[in-house]
Amino acid sequence: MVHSVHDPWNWHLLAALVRRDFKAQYRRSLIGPAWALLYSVIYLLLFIAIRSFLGIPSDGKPYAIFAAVAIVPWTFFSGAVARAGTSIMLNGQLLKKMAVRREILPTAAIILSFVDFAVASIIVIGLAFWFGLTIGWSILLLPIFVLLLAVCALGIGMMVASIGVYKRDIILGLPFVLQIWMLASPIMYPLSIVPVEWRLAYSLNPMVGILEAFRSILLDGALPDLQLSLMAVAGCGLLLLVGWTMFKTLSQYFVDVL
Amino acid sequence: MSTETAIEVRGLWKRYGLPMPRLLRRVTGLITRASERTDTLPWALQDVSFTLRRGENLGIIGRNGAGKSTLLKVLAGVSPATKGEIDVRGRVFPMIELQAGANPNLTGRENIMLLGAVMGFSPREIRGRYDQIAEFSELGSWLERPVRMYSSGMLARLGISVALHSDSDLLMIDEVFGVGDYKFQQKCIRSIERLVKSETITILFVSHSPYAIQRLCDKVLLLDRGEQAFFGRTQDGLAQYFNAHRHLEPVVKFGEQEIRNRDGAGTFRFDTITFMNEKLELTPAFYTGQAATFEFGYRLSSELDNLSLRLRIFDNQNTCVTSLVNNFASIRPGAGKILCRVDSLNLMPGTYLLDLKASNNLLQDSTPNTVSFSVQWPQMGGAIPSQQGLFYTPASWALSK
Repeated sequence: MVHSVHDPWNWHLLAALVRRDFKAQYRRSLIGPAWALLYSVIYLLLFIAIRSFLGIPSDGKPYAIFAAVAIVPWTFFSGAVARAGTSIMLNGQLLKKMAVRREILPTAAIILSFVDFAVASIIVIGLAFWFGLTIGWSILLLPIFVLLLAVCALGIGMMVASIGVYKRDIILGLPFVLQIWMLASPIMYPLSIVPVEWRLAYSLNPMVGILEAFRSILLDGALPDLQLSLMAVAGCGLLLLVGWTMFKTLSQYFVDVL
Repeated sequence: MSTETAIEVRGLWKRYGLPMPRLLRRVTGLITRASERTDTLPWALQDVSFTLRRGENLGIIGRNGAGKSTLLKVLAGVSPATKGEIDVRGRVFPMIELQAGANPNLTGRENIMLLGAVMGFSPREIRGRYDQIAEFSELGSWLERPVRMYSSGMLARLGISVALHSDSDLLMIDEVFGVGDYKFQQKCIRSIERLVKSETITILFVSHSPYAIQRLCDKVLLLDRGEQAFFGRTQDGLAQYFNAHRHLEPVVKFGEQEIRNRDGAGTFRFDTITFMNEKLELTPAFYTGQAATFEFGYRLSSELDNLSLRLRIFDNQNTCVTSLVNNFASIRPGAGKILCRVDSLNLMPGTYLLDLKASNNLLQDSTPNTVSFSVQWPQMGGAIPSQQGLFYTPASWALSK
């Protein structure tokens, strides 16, 4: 079957969607983009409170910064997944009207989450100054891991978005999955408390490699663990591949059910 | 008109829903307890094929649910075809579901920017056009308010204003003639007419208005329950549609609801129309050149003087072919019947519509022109007379030296 309605990547549309969603999401909000900051701060305070009676170790680092360097990237990831996952459902009207390349919608959702990420990063920067952290050259590797987070979020987001159009259950269940995923990642606690015999299975979660890399780079100024990083690259790559393939196949029929 | 092809469709079939491999379908069937057979929806489009050259304008007609909007969606690339080949060349602006604003929380201006971006314009290009669009839409300060506050007419105005300024090679217009007030409609039709005359822009219209189709389209595609019933000259397509799809009744009773909603003071109301032939048999099918009797049932709530009645007959392109007028000096209250006998109905074969108006010094009643009757040739010894023109002129021919 040949269909030559051309829908190439439309960068203008991508930019316009990001701009639109940015304006729309805080339209009736008092504190606007500060919400991005608040979200991470609340998690941080919650974790500090939990730690005060559970005695969670933090590899000899101040717990506040130890937790913050994982909370902020995780919040970016979970926010991006949630946005990308609902992007098709929320833009049904647009899709019904116009032949636009469907991938643009989850991609715009991820890019928008970068804005929140940038705002939330203020916490990490502030705490880094407060605790007088020294930043090493390894920080140049950090963008790679931020990109990995985005890749992983896009992959999962595309899966959720494409199935969610047909069966809403996956969108309804997403918050629980993200909660469990957060507990299964080294955010509140260090990787070192995971028993050694479980470590390999635990590290199949690509978040482990990514968040550990954030910690190595920001807290120790050291290079991230190579094996964990490669596992994260492989995991994120695989998720994007599966997510994108599903999305490509199912997206053709979105309009028929939206 | 250019010889370049704008749209080519070959053997297009469309069925809604996700095509699932049989095994997967059986598995989901077990879960949802739907049998495999009920799972597949009927074909929305079956074997549609046509070619349009650049600059040609196509009217897509058919009853509700015939697949007109589906066809536009498939051609716009919004929804995939199940089988068949589609070749659409150029920048497409599909105005499908015009009422649906892109995002209800954004202002009119922001929606214009977004629609422009969907069409691939840069923000600068859109700003360059923005004033024209804003002026055309006549929305004024409403453009700074969220679209959710708009009336449906205003939404349509927004959509059509963008569409008409989008520099598209191909416009798809779905039932937009009914939007906005009369003045705005006329303005839209005028702008569309300018585009219609252009040699480079191809327009696809979906409309129930034979008048608009006749005025704007070079060709017509008639769909009947998803099947292509006709593709070709507008005149022929409209004729076929209106002949096939008006069900004709010898007695037409207007519903109470419909009567209440009509224009006019309402002291006098038409409630039935009855068609009778030369022998006063009830039939909605007349013969050219023979007598026809129209009987109008009415009810009158108080006595009226000087009531004038007008009967108009329209052809299937909504052209008024003839009108008959009569005055009644005085009519008594109550129910009654008015007879109008035409000695020789000099209409060419076809389907016709009629409407009625009653007025004294003010308009009392007017019926919509939805009542139809047909005219056919009387049996005339096998000879088939000419079919050109609107009315039949009896004449005798002879050779003379």
